[in-house]
Amino acid sequence: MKITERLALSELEPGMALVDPLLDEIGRVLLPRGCTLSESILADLRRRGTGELTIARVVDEEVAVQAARHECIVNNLASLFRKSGSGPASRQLYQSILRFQMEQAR
Amino acid sequence: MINIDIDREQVIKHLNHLPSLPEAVSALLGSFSDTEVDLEKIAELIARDQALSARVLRIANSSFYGLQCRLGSIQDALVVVGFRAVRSMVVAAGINATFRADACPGYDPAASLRHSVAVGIAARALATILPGHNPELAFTAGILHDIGKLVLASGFPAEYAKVLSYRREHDIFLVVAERDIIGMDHAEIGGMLAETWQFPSALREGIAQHHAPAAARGTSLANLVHVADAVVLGLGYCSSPGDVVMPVETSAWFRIGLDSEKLGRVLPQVAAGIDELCLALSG
Repeated sequence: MKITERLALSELEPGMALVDPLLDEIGRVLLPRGCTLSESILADLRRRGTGELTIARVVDEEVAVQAARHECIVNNLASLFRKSGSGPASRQLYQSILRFQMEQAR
Repeated sequence: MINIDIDREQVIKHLNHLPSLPEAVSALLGSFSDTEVDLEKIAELIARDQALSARVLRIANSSFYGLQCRLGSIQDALVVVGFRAVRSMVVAAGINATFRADACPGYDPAASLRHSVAVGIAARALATILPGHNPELAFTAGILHDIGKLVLASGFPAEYAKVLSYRREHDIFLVVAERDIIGMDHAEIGGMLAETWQFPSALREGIAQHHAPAAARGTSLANLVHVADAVVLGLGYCSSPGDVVMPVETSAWFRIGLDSEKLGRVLPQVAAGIDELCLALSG
């Protein structure tokens, strides 16, 4: 399945496709929308010191589902523990439940 | 400030006019302080109460006890799971069935029962791996820890509905909303009920101080129930939608000797068996 995400330059890999065109300071198109990143393009981006880029890439369905599940667990726990304070017992409880639910989701 | 016509005097008056407990439940509550227990007489008292014995057998036959055989009578249950386990089931089932709390808007009896059953299971599971605790008593205390909410939702439904909506509106802990509006919280009221019905003192402390375990004795069940309650809320078994994990008292955590590794062993046991026990207790 195809997912869209915003990644830092260091996380970009050959084969990923640009979702938005990459423009220079005055708005000229450096890389068009949909351009597939290659090793040489990446080297060029590194030289220019480009920051984050929004890319689309194909990922394994399992991996995507897993990532979504993990995000769901973390959000749910953040909501349940939003008033539990930062005491050592609350923290240990949070960590234990997070670990347990992540294992369950696997 | 919402004006509500309910105060301590009225709660006490209400508690004194509650229907009396089934005879078998009273007898078993009395047995906590009695060293000479007449098992035959107790089995007969339970068996005479058909609804109660049916509930107890459903619990005993649920996966909670993991028995290979099916128990057909209270006598069987006494032999196979033992007196203490039967006592904890009778007390939990008998007391829960005494209250009807289906007329209080915002109070969800099914979710509340589910939460209480989960705390009972968690408290029992923790008590089996932590030294110095009686697992059956921990189970009973867990199931009954929020009995004060049941008293309020069944005895003062309109007033308690206001407490619940005030709590939702201000996004505060339920005990804070209760204290703001009625001047008492459900833990205190649960403790008063425990006194009225002469629960054993260990059980009464577990109920009355589960939100303030730091003030309880070091060996009090309140410490265990407090932590079990937080574990269950952390797992998402809430009694109402706004429920969150309250700060876990560090003293309670260390007093019962808990750590991440032990908690990790208990967590998988909590979710298992909740549905069956809910069914058994609500039937």
